[in-house]
Amino acid sequence: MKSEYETGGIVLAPRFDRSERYVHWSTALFFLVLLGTGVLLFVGPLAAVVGHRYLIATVHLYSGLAVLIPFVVAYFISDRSTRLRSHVTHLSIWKKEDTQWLRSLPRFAGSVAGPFNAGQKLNANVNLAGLSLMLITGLIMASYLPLAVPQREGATLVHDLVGYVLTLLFIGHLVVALSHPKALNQMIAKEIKNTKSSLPET
Amino acid sequence: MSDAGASLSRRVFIAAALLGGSGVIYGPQIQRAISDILGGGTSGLASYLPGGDRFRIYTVTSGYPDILYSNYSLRVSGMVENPMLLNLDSISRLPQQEVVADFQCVTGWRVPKVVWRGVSLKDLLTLARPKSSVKGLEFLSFDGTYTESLDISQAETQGVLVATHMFDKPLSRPHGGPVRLYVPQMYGYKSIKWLSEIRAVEVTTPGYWEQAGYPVDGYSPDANIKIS
Repeated sequence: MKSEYETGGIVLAPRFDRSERYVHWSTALFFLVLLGTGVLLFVGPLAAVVGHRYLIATVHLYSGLAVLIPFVVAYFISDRSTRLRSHVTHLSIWKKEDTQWLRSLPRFAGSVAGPFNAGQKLNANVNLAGLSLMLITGLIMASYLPLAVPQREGATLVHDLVGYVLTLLFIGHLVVALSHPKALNQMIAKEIKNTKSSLPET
Repeated sequence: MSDAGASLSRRVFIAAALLGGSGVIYGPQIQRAISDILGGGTSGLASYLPGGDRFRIYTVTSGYPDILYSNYSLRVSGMVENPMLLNLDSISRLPQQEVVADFQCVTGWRVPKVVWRGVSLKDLLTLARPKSSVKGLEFLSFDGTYTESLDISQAETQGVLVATHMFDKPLSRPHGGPVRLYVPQMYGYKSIKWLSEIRAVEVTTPGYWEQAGYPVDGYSPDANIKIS
């Protein structure tokens, strides 16, 4: 499963540019705060040990308001030629190869069209849609008015459900990232080392 | 799917909007249906299923206040003719009342048909004899932070309990044991946990969550109350 950016140990260009790395890690930071405070609010025995519900709920709320901002800002201030824009376009289009790739699972034998495979595309889109849902339902839960309790009850249900989905996706993302150190390094390192060749970067 | 590619994000967002919209609108019905499938009174891990009936345990300080059940005492003070200090034993010798109602939290979770037992607050007030200028009651918690209030007519409503038992068991610490207030007509935040003192006053101070914006008269529209 090699992308066009990574062939035979020779990495030709860093896969993610600086603004993408900023978006990724600031979103990751807010996500971790959301996950941590969310677990403290959700799991009774932990809430009992830690307490301070008002403080934790406030941190959770503001991290939730912030989590999509890095992506939205970076997307709208960047022009069409940036890698962020092009990656978003790649991620939002489903191709025939993506269906084949999914069908090949779990052998990962399908071909990949563009820089992202079908799994990465699904992960990115479900995350963005899921975070948006969490934001809307979270705002409904946090507001006393104008919505009544039945809507807040429904919002809680959706928030819990999508929370589980996003947590599972996050764990999956972490496992895959940690088992692909080279790919992970492209999100961490500024300069990508040529491992075998001394070819200049192109 | 065409070769040029279909918009994945549009599909995912439409699916999310459908899920979110129907969840928010039909949430209560879905919740009841799941609750029926799970057979009600879910416990352990099953209660963590979205829609499972589960008390979400809230505490606004660090952890639970450490009160020995054997040392517990409830102070009834303020503008009353007969200030009292009641331990668990003396509370249990007062006439007991049972109330079954849905526990509705204002943040949007609900536990159906919870069985509470304790002393009617009205009976307690009859013993304490508030002075004629008393307009309301303030409630204090052993956690030292949480407070609540009721006006005198709310406090004398049938079903309002100084509760010591839930589902026929002594009230556990997470649920506010040994003693909590229980106001079936109102949202959960009115039912202060770890009750330490009831104070009769002329002017009530808004409680902990009311100071953060919740209504003082936190009536819950459909609590399905049964008093016996």
